[in-house]
Amino acid sequence: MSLSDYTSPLILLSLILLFTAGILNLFFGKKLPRLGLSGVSLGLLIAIVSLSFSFYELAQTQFQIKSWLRGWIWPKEEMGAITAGLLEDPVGLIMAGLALLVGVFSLLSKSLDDTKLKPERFSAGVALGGAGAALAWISLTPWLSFLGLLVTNFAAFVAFSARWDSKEDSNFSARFAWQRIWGLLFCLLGTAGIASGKAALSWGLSAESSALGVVSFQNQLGGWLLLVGLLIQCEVFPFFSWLLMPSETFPVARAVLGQILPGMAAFAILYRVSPWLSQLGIFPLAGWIALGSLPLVALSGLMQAQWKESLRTLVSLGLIFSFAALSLEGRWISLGIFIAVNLSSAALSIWLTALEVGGPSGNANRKKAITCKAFMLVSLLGFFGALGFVSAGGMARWFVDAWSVPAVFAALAAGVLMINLLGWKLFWAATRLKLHTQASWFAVLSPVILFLLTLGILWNGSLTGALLDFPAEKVLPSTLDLMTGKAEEVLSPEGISFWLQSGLLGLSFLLSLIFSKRIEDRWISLAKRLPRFAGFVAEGYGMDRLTLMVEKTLARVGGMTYWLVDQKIWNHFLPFGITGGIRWGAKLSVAGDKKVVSFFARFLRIWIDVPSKMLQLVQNGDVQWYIFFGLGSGLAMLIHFLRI
Amino acid sequence: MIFFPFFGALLQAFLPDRGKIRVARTMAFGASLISGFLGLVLVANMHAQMPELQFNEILPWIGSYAITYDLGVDGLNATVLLLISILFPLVMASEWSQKHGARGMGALFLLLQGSFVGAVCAQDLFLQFFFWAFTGIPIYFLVGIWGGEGKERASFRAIVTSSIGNVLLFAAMILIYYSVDPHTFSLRELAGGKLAGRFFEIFGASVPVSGLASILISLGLALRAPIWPFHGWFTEVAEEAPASVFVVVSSVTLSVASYIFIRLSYTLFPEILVSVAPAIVTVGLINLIVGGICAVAQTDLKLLIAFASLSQVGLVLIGAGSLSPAGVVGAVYLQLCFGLAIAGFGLFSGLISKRIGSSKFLGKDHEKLFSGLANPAPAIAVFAGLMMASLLGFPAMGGFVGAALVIIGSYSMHPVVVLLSGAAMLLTTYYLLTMYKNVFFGKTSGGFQDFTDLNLTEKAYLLPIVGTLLILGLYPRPFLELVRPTVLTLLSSIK
Repeated sequence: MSLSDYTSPLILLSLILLFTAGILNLFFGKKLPRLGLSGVSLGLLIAIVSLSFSFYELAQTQFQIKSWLRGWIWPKEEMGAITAGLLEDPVGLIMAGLALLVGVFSLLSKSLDDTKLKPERFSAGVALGGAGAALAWISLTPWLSFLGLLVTNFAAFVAFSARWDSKEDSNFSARFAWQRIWGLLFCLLGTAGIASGKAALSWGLSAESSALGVVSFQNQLGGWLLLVGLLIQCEVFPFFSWLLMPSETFPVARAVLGQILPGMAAFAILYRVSPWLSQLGIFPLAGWIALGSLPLVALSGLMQAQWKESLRTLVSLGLIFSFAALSLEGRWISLGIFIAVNLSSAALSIWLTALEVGGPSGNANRKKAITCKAFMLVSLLGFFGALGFVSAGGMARWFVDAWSVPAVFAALAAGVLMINLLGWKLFWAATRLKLHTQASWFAVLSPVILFLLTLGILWNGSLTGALLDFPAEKVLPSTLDLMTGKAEEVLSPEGISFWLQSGLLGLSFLLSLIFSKRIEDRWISLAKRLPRFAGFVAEGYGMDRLTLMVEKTLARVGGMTYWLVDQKIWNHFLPFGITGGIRWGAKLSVAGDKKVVSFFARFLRIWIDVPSKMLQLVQNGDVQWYIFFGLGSGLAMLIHFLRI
Repeated sequence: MIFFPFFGALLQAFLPDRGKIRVARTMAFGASLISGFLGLVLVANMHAQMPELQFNEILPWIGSYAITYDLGVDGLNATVLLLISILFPLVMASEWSQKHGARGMGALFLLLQGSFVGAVCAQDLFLQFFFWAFTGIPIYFLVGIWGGEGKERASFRAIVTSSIGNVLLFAAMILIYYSVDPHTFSLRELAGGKLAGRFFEIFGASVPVSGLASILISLGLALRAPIWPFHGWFTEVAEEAPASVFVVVSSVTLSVASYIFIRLSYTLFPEILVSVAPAIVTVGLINLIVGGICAVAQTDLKLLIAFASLSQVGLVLIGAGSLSPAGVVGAVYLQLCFGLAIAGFGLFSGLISKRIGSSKFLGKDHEKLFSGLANPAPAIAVFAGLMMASLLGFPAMGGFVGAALVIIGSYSMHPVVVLLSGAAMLLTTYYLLTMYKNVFFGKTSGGFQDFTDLNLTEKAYLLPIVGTLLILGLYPRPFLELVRPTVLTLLSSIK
């Protein structure tokens, strides 16, 4: 047995350590802040090292996928078993590593939180969120992935709890929790439904080799429930309105812990489950829902007056876009987009927060502000899928695929255009933010690594990000090919896609110059002119009001049921009915008793009165006793003779 | 395990009236703890993968009526036994500072513990009825003496309802006894469809014994379980009873009632279960949904928990009616997990009542009476959060295992029911999180800035609940391996 045989337990142990470090920091971080932070940092480091070691070991075996399965809730060989296990494949290990890296860089930005309110909760959240997202990617079974998803959402909840004393923040924390728990419940319900009556679910099973891909009512209902859960997790319309709720929570915590890491965990499940859902035929429809929700969510983001809300909407758009790409175009295309949008979003949130810090004017502070803005710009290009970034190749192929069907192309182009417009709006908002920032150079420059990780050369080995797919620009082997296992036929990009993408980017830039690069954003002016419509859009298309109405109706129905059954029937009608019935019965029996008694009394009186009257008459001498004697003797003789 | 609490209760009566409360309390707690410990040892020593009853004790009791003192433990009752063994010492510890009539309270809790264990382990119908009917009496006194303002009414209603339930159970028992020849109350002898094909003459009509007896048993247990709409006494007890008594009523009584229902249905009437199962599932679904909807409207923690328990019993019934191994095992497992989580929640409401003077968290017009308790009492917030997580069926908590198995087991037979159960679970999320937000989030208000967090005693009795729920969620295998063989054997008699 060599060390390579123990890589799975090693990864698991390192993630448990990270989780424990987060929990310990949550409980004792206030008293021991340095120790707590060191624990979290060490935990992250150990987890990254163990993932890297496993990846190295995997490379030694020519990337032969390793799995490690254990029974958890039911014997693993039985139907409907709930099992736990780890899957060591390139995509899982790399994405888990990326999730941890996002955690590391958000932790490095901790100094930007100028409120310094319960900072231990943020670092605890980073540890928990990193562990959860990594677990979701390396899980062999959906159940363990859900545990990862739960942990990432819990991590955000922990980080948000630093500001529970503010009404806005407590409201948005509660909304976040409801929404994410509902999403998770749908996922669990759907997966439990799919698992019912089948062999233990694991990502290692192919849709064809099991009953999972069989189109049946049971599978489709389960699949839809799972998809709805994941759509909620990815903040698809209409489940995005919590993003628009104002709060003073550290923006990096809201973006990275609230959206990016949970999004990574949700995408992990979606990525793994995609072959089954495709087989069931329900995946494309979900993709269309996601694609259709892009303009709606983006429009809502454009109507926001604050950059924080716009940023959150942009992060959410990235997730939705990746969801749609996976559903409609497959793994290779979506993974590139997903990596770029998530890493860019994390970096953007850190730079925007750094700009928000502000500070005294001075050359160094001005340089830092300019650096932030410059990197924001290039990071946004990565988000948009511009030339040279990992997202470029995926988007190019999607455009090529969509080009032949005008409706699909229009929907895609509209979605991309709206995302770009929102991105530019955010950029112009950043340029209007403070001109100086006293954030440390370390905080300003550390997200550059996240930006570098979005470069196409690292992922598809291509200088253009596989946007122009000619041999000369391919300088390295493609990691994306390795990750997706070249499981699907990927279209070659055509020249048209480059022009389409560049055209859309140019158009969005021009439009943003008209709309957003002004002292007052035109979108905001529009909102002022059409306040009701803008309010409706900016507040998430009245979803909050609808939710509130449903809540009130439910509470009313509950109150009425409680009033009728508990208060009226049980507390009023039944006791009074039973008591009244008993009293009525008692009265009836008393009256009956009286009647019976008086009847008997009368009856007795008659039977006693007659002989006693007679005796009295005899005693008084009114009737002579010998007459009775004579009568009696005569009667006796008569009876005697009659017998004869 | 059964007689230690009875002996402890008896001993309380002989202790001097004054000045020895501490001794009395310690002795009562000790008796409960020993009984609980014996229960844990017994379950720990059970042979896994063995479907038959273990640790059998069979002694003749009333020979002329073939009544035996017959006890045994198998996978079906091991979880409930575990629940009783864990909860009673903790509940008694939660009343450690009780000043008013501590001796009496301790004695009544002990009587309750002993009779619950007896009802769970009994394998003779008469013995089971004896213990089960007896549990109503200590509850009556506990609510009637230590309850709130409306305690008399609540305790009266509780005893009347439980008496009606007991009468129905007794009638079923007598019916079963006389319908078999030779007459017997032994569940072992009555098992395996012995009542199948037997009829009972009533007003000239032939009524199947199984059908009539199962209706009587179901109604009798529904009154005590409680099942909606027979739950009126339960919500009143929830409002009036002290937290510890409420915990026993809501978690133990409910679990034991559902256990007896599963045991009797699967043992005595396997032949009619297939036709009755949809009705069981429907009743479960109604409970789940109506319990959830009613909970949404509650402004009192105890009432909210009462309706949450009602809802959870619904899930147990859905599992029990699924007639699939996973579903029934899930239902049995859920009895333990929801019992613990509801108990934890009940104790949490007790903590709030003790500190604030009421368990009401919202006013008449749903305005907040207090908020922001997470700041002064983070440990209480964490504890309540964990209980909530288990009730919501979060992975890694005990509730997840039970709920997931129930859903997996029921889905293939009743997909729509599972879908509707999902809606009810969303309701559970809604009302629990709303409560949590109202109580713990926001600025500390209501004059409770100096609200104290958990003290050592409170931590001591709350931690075992959290620990057990985590163990049940993370490493359920040993428990499931106890339950599964018994359930498979019972199910095989149906098929």
